[in-house]
Amino acid sequence: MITNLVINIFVLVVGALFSFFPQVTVLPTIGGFDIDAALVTAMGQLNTLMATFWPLYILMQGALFLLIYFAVKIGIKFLIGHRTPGN
Amino acid sequence: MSNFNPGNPLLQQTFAIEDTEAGTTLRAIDLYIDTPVGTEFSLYMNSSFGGSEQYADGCGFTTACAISTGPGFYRFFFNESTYTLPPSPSTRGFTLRILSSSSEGNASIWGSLGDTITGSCISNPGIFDCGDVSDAYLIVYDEDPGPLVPETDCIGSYTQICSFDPQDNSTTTGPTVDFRLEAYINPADISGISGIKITLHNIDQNVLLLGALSPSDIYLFEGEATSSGQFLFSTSTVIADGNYRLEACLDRSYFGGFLINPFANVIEGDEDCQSHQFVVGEGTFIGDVSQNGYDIFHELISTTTATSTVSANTCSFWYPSTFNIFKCGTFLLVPDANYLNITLNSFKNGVLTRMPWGYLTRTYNILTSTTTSELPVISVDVPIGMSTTTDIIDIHFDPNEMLAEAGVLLNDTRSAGGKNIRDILESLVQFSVAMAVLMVIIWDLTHGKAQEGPGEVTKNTK
Repeated sequence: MITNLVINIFVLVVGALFSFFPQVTVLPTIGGFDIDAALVTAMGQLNTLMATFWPLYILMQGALFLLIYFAVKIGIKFLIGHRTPGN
Repeated sequence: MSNFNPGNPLLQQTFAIEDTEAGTTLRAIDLYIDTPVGTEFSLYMNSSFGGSEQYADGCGFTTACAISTGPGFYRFFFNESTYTLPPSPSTRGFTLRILSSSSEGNASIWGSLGDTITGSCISNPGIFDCGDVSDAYLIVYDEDPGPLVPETDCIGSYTQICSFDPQDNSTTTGPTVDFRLEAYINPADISGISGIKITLHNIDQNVLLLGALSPSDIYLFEGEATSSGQFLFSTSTVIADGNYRLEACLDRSYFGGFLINPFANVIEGDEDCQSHQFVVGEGTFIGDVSQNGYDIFHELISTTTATSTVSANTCSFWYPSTFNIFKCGTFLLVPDANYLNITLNSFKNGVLTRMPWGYLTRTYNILTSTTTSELPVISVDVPIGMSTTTDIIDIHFDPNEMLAEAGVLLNDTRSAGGKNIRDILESLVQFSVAMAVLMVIIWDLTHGKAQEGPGEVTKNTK
């Protein structure tokens, strides 16, 4: 109950703050080069390789986990700046 | 194998003697006996067989080769020489000899010399009292049956914990407590570098913090499964009166137990660690609180129903029958899984699709997609002469064909146990990658930022 309420309040506040930003669902095209299409094709070919060389799949999962960790870390630094633990 | 079972116990005086075949070779006998724990006994064939009494291996007239641990089967071997059952039923006979101090004597338990044990030995005049044998019968083997496997239904198609004692929520009389663990180990789980670590851990709950820090915790068994099939462990230990939690665990291990993978699930459809809570003698105050707290904690974490009306009543002082401080606390603090799901979806749609998070979300979706694309085919025409139409070599390389053939080779190369490379190594690779990721995160958290020197201050001074 209490936790639900706290989470709801947090989501409402953060949602209100970001409601002014545009919505983006695909990666941008820069200088005529479609980053989204290139990444989709590259990932598709990597999936084909991983179907045979299965350790690549596990390495990808590990890399993805690290990516999420660094993304969360950047996000925290962006939000609270110099008050980030370790600064 | 000629294996006859007299069927009804000897006390009921019926035998399937007619089921035996003339000339049957005797190699072993299973004797079912129901007699008090600690009764010592011996088994031999009567002299009518071969001219002299033939004792089972390890048995003698005054030497007990078996001690009763309760009703059940006991196997006796006659491996030193073989005996051929005589054709005539009237000349066959086995004798059970009871050698315990309170009752000693012989009883013929098969054959014409005596068909019954009715509380006293018969057939020979002046025979002794056979004591408290309440049931007995024979199973004869004409081939070596191997060691006796205790009757159990702990046989399955996958590794599992079948049972362990003391039972959950039981009370036992101390100070000596009998512990027992029965498990089944699938051969596929202990092949190659993989193994199964078995742990039986008795946790003292008569201390604070659910017994997590008690010096009285005992590891009753901790080791690797050395063979597949049924695993049995039993022991008796003296422990003080109070409340205890017995935990039985199966863990995935590698290289003979050198590495343990805590992330792998061993028991299909069930938890790898299972607990029974029991009381020895009389429970203690802290022990009772610890046991109830663990039960409630485990139940509530397993199924969260924080929005149900039943849970709401656990916080109401006006309903003393349903008020429960532990459940009330969980109702207030543990978020409901369904409601949490809705909230997180709102967060994803309202925040994570907005700039700049939208780019990260899209990148994550691409990286986690399972769509495949064909690899590019390399096809080059290389001129080797003057003519550009006839003097050319066509170099064509299709990596998709190469991958398909490599895949067949990798999948179909199997060990003697029927496992391919992936079956053997996948869990180890997963574990190694997980450990590497964890270490990178820990390194980044502890060393990610360069240290500033002491007294170094950044400010504008004029």
